Amino acid sequence: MNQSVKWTMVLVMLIVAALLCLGLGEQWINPFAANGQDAVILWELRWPRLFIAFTVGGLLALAGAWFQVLLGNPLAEPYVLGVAGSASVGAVTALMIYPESALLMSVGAFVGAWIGISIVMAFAHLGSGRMLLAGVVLAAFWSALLALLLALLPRSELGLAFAWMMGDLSHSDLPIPLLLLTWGLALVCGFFLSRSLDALLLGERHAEALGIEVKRLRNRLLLLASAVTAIAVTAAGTIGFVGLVIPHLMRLLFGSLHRAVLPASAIGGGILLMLADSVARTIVAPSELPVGVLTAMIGVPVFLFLLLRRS
Amino acid sequence: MLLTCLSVGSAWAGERILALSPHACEMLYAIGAGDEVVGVSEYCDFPDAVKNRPVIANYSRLYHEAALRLKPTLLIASNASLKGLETARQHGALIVVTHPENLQDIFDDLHRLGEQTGHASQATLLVGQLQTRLAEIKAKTDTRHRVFFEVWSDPLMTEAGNSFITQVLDAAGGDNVFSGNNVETMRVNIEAVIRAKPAVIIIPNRSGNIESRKAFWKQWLPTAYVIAINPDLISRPSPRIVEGIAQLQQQLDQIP
Repeated sequence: MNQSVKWTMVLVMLIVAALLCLGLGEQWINPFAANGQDAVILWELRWPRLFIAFTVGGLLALAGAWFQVLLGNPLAEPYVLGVAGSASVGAVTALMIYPESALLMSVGAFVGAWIGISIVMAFAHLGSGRMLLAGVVLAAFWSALLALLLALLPRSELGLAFAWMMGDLSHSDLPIPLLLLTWGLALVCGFFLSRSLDALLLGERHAEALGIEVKRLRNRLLLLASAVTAIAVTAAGTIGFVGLVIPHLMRLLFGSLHRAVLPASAIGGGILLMLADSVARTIVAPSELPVGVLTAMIGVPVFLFLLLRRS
Repeated sequence: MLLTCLSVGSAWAGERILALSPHACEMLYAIGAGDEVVGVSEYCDFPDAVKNRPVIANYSRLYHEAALRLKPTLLIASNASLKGLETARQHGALIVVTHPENLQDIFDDLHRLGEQTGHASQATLLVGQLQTRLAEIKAKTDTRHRVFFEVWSDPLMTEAGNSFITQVLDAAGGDNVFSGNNVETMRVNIEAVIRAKPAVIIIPNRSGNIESRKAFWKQWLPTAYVIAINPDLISRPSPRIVEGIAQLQQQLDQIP
């Protein structure tokens, strides 16, 4: 299969996912012929939700792809490194200080994500193996701290805390234009970094031989991946598996060159989250499921199937 | 007469009760067993007298060491599987579970607690008064409205099915738009609420953001009336429920 056929496939998937995301819900709405109440629901509820799902999914997948190169480890993703955990701790802390404010909770998540990342970054100079280990240990630490906070949290706040911890796309406290802008900027940055990333994937020495300042590249990449994660987590809570599964999926499809893997991940992550969210709000309508449950349930079998076929 | 009173009094004077849920607390005080309550759970807040009682449980567990130190003889719980309850049972305390699922259950449990604590006559009197009041409210209710009950705003949650709230709304003249869904407390998609077209939206008045919730609902359902009510009065299966129904009925009645 040549590259253009593969890209066409991705774009077709994107359109199908977008149509499902707009059409599915508590009741089917034809995205091309909605009027009256359906039009209000389509334009004011489903379109915003589609953009949140698409950008958050794309950002998480990009961050995952970057973390994987950065640590030279296929297991790396924001969640494994404890960044999602520290963001959750920040969010729940905010809830304890000032209950019932989703906005303050997002600010807490952002601050938490930065603290988590800064601690992981302090291990950067010790090499990727130790940094990954530090991340895994920190993830355990954050989850213990989270359990402590949840035990102390008033019962009335538990609903919001749990909804947030499994991902919630029903609305975002960050404006959608900001999310789209972040997505676009992340994609552009990724494009400029793609050749350096390819070199880094072959090993630090190889990259240095090509004239790349590895240390600086690493720091930049870490900062970029962290900022993107913090924004995604702030917008939609913690959603796992997108950052792990999508970059690998796109490498299986497009090979390892980042010029293709990064844009494909930015779109593929969006597709997965749009599909997951469509299912999450359809199968138990008029209620809805946390989207994080669905990303795992869709992502993991697809990933395992592709791994088996590949070998 | 005096003798019987004395003998009854002395037979029950030793009762030391732990009230492990807010509604159990309210029931005990309402039937005159408040003085025998020696410990309460974290969310017991009515009547004011309970605020001086030591807290020996939260919604998920009995703090069994602190609880046993109070030498309880009777524990009133809303959930038989509360952690730590078994320890109290092993130490000889009697466990009574009250988990009313409808108005009749509240009356039955008031009788049951009355007999258990030696306040049977007060319980009978109270139930009689409550039933009379309820009948008066029912007689006044002539118009009915389709209502959506907002339990929580973020994530948006409601009480559906034949839940306690659905029955309370019904008694006050409101038909829960989600009574057909076979779940009790559920997360609900805003789309579904818009489509259900409730005429009235009931929000809790404790949230501190009543105005912003009103604005939120005006945006999606411009013709719906939004009313705020103290959620403890209508979602807690306590004797105050009748007062809650009366307030709700009065507010619903003012809507054209």
